[in-house]
Amino acid sequence: MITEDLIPALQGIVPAWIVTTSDENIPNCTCVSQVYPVDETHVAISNQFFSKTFRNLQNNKHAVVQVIHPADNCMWVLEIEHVRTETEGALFDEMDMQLAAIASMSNMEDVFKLQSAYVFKVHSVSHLTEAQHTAQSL
Amino acid sequence: MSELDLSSQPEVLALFDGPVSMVVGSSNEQKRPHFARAQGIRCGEKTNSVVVFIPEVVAHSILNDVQENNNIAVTVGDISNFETRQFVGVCTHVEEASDSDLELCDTMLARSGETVAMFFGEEGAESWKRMVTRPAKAFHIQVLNVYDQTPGNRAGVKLL
Repeated sequence: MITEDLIPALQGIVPAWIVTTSDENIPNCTCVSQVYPVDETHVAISNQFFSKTFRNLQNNKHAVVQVIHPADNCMWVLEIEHVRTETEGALFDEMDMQLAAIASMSNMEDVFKLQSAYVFKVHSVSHLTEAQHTAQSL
Repeated sequence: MSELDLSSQPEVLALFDGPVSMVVGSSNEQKRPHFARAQGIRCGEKTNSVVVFIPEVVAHSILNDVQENNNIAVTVGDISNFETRQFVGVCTHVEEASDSDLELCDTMLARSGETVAMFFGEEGAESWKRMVTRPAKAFHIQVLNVYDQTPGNRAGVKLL
């Protein structure tokens, strides 16, 4: 499901977006620094400061995340489901290291501190080719 | 409860004049969330409303959702400094975007493309500017709350 051509969009070069929904069915849409590939069917999202997203996921594990390929700005949308949260271990350490690099790139070293890694099962991946004109069509 | 007045916080609305990235979140009756990238935003006719423009090619999920559950969230982030605001409210109606609104979308895309060029070079900006803007649907939203969504300790703080 997570294919080679999607991997560059999971490097944290272009910020991603996540949408969750509250128990009252009110959506919440916020920026994500890091969507990290765990294996072929799972991604992890860095939790630095999103309390509302965290609250929503307690009641409704479904979310959708959009990532952008840094080379061609192609958009991908992943339907995901929260399965666990990690606050230590190999995955957490790898993400912490990558997040430090992302923070350095964006001059946000003081802001980005990994609190936890939310691990999600990926249910679908859509490549939004229709959202962009081809270079030839312009 | 008095109606929210967006003009009471000019800096919130000033964001619309910057190089911004705009995204929309909705959810259906089963509480399954959906996402779409918008290409334009402006103030609505009332002081508590905004109109957001989503290209038709990516609008279908949001269109379906608002018919089942009219709660909607629009997050607008300045890509030059990450200042971000989230507008949460209800979708009151949807219509075709007008010619002038589509021109606004093209202008906003060109503006953000200039900033993208600073980060990702001309090639990155060219692919950014290839994003489809038209035709588009105009989602009219009555804003109930505005949140600071700038990455950092202020993220999630209610402004209005």
